[in-house]
Formats: sequence, C-alpha cells, structure tokens
Amino acid sequence: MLNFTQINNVVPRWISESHPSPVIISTRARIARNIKNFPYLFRLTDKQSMDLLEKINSSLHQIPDLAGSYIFIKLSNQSHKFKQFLKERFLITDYLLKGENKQIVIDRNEYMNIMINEEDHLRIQVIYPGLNFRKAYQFIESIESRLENILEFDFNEEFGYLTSCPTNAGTGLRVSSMMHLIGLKLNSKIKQITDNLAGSGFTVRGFSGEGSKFLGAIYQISNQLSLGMNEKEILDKVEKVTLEIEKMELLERKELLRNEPVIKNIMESFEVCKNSTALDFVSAMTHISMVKLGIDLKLVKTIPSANDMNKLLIMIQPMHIAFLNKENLKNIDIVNENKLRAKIIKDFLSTGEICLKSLQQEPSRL
Amino acid sequence: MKCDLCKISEATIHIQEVINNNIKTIHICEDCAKSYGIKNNIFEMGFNLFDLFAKINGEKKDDIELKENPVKEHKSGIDDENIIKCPLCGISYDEFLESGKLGCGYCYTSFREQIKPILRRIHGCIYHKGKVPVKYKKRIKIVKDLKVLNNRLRMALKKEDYEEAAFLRDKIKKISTQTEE
Repeated sequence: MLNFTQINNVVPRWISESHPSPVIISTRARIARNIKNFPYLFRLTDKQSMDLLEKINSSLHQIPDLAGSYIFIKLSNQSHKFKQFLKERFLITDYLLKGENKQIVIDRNEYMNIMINEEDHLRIQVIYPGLNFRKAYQFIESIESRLENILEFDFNEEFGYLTSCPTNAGTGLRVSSMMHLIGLKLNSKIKQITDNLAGSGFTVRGFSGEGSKFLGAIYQISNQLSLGMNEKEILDKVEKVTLEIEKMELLERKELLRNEPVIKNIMESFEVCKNSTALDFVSAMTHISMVKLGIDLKLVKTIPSANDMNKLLIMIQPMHIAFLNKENLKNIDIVNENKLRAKIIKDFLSTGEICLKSLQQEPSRL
Repeated sequence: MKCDLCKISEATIHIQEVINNNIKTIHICEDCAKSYGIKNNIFEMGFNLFDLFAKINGEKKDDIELKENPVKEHKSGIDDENIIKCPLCGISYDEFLESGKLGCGYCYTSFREQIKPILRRIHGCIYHKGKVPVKYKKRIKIVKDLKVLNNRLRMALKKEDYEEAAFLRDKIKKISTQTEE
C-alpha cells in the first residue's frame, strides 16, 4: 500500500514552483501509444491486460534511471477515495478509476506520469509550471524513445501512431496550457475567445477537465488536431496562442483597475477568504480567483504571492481535504469538508503555508 | 490442390478463418507461406496472416460478385450481408461508429477507406507528418532508395548503358535483401 511519504509534496511541484507568468499556471503535454499485437481497451481481456501490464513494466525496468527512482502505483487494489485523490492531482483519468490491471508510474517530483491500460495502452504525461512546452515534450520524448527500443508501438506510415480513438491518431500528442483568465471573464470577452479557439483547432476545457465548468476562471487550452502536423508545429501552435491570450488577459486586468464594482468584489472575496468558517468548493474557487487577481493588481497584500495561490487550487479539492486531514479520513462529511476548506484558505493567507494540524504528524497509511 | 496465391505449386498449408460463424479455409504452398511470413508460432507472425486473408478473400469476393451480382458495383454503402469487420479483433465498422473507439491497431487497415474521411473531418488531414519510429525510418529509406535506383536502372537500360545497369542491378539486389532481414 502506498502512503503519503511516497507522495513527495502536499501539492505537486508543477503548481508550487515559482515562475514569472501571472496568467499561465502550467503546461501539460501527453502522448498516446499502443503496443503492437494487443487489442485496445474495449477488446482487451483481463488476461491480455495483465500480460500487457507485465510487458510494459518489464520494459520500464530496463530503463536504468527510470526503474530506480520512479514510483509504481498499482490502482486495482487502491480505494476509490485514493484514486479520486490522484485524479485531483491530474495523475489519473476516468479510465483508470475502474477495472483491473491499471497502473501509473510517476517520478518523485511528480512532473512525469505514465498511465498504463488507459484508453490507450500507454499515456505519458508531463506537467511543468508556467510556460514550458518544449521542456515538457522533451521529457516525454526521452522516455518514449527509450521505450521504443524495447516495445513495438502500433504505427502505420499513413496515419502515424495508432490510437483507440481516431481523434488522437498521428502524433498522439496533446499539449495544453492552464490559464487564469479572470480579466477576460469579468470583461465578458472570454466567450468570444473560446468560440474563436474552438473554430481554429483548439479545445477549451475547465480546471477539472472534460465537461467541467470554468470554475475560478481557469481555462485549459489544447490542440484538437494530432494528425497532419509534426510535434514541433503542434507545440508552436499552442504556445503561440497561449502567449497571445496571456497578452490579452494582461490588458484586460489593467482595465479592471478602473472598474469600481470589480475592485469592491475583490475586497469582498478577500474578506470572505480571511474570515469564513465554512466554504464550499465552487465558491472557494471563485473567491480564490478574485484574491489572486487582487494580489496581482496590488490591491490586496498577502504573504503568499499570486502564483503561490495556485497551490490552493489543488489543496481545496474534496479528496485532498479528506486525505490530508487524518482525523476525519474515514468519514468526512460535507459540513466538515467545508469547515476545513475555510481553515486551509484562512491559514494559507496569513502564513503562506498549507498547515492543517494533522499534516504535521506522521503521514498515515491509506 | 493448387495454392490459392500462386496457383502453381501444390498447397500444403491450410488455414481457417472464422467470420460471423462462416468458416473460410485457404490453401497455400510453402513458398507463398514463407513470403507472407507465416511461422509455426502465431505470435511471431504479426499481422501478415490477416493481410493474406484480405488478399485472398478480396480476390475471391470480386470474382463471385461479378458472376452473381453484376449490379453490385453500382450499389453504394454497405449492406447487411457484407458487414465490414476487423478480422483481428472482430469489431464491426458499425460498432466502431457507435462507440467512437477502435478495437485494435489493425482496425485502421481493416476500415482504411471508411476511416479516411473520418480522420479528414477530425484533423483536416489524413497523412501523418510527425515522429516516425526508428525501425520504420530505415524501412521507409530503403523503399525510397529502391525507387530511385529502379528509375536509374530504367534510364540506363533505355540508353543501353549495360555496365551502369549491371552495377545498379547488383545494388538493388543488395538493398532488397536488407528489407527482408
């Protein structure tokens, strides 16, 4: 069983490390690969998925620096709550929540994550703080190239790397940037931008991925197309649009300095965060978003910087609160969850630290 | 019984394929089996067996259709009797359309003609441009080299430059043996 000493940090490094952009939170890249001569997820028997997992694991163990320092987490024997916890950290997708022979392999810094028996046999994902498309892809490529010497991936000269869903075929590459677009949202310009993006080969999603609302004005923008462009072109395209949107967002934020009602709202949100005794997830996201903006515009003074506030986005999710608060591990109800959320936010604003009392104790087994 | 492929040698290998409870048997000679990479161990064979079935079934189907149903070629779409299925994983084209997910890598070959317009609709393009596995890079280079050399050979023969032709022929032979490896 896994315990928290294996998960290095309370929040992952890709969200806690400092970086210069007040708008771009993180950069993510992932590739999809399938192993030749194995059927895809929906046609895979339990025996085949077990063989596949063994085959991939033995290949990973042949990569010297990887085998020693990476954490292998078998998901089938983990509790549903723990899997939800991993999902909140962007380490697993819905395909890994259920079923046998599911596994992830993460590096100790939690930048890199390999998902096994996902929609595709292999998904390799890297998330870095701020704007870092090239570095993220290079990390993925360094692992993929070494795996390619050992495993044979499904590839076809015409359609490229073959994937379970044709939307991922070709390069199998999907890159995205996570951005805080509060200025564009408050000035009602975001709808036009997301509509334009959707029409020009981009997908726009919220904080928690597919189907999620744009909570806290957080947007994930990714390439829709993976076939017909090479990897560099895809990276350049998403990077270019990310920088353009960042520029637009910064202009809108300047405008907001003259907007009295917005300034009033920022101050109100700041008071709520400092004084609330209970906060639900949705309103917490909204208030954090406004305080982040307030810090960036130098309207409010806090110990944590605007980028430090990003840590809260991970920390205030339900399973993070449940798991990191040892006493209520077994039975956390929504009332307690909301109380703890308010406490985490309040403490964070006054100390700059995520300090739940129980976090200081020896981490518990899950 | 003569071989289904070359139709010259005696068939010594008989392989059965089951699609929709219909059993189809093909008969081939040892040489043709070798050229299709058929080995005793099914896992070493990769997809060659399915290419083989596709080839033989395809040829036979055309013959039958022409005799029995001359109107067939004017029909469009897929009728019930002729459901397209991937011979490797068994998923039908309709099942794929319903779920949006393919059953295996070979589906891209089985449904190649149907999947092309889908890929075009999604990606606006149907040709891969990015990374190519090292193994394929070598293969693609060899195919390209052979094409160039064959062109040069044709030119040399046209010019009656037999010395050059002999040189090129040897080179082509040498590269061709590399592909078989």
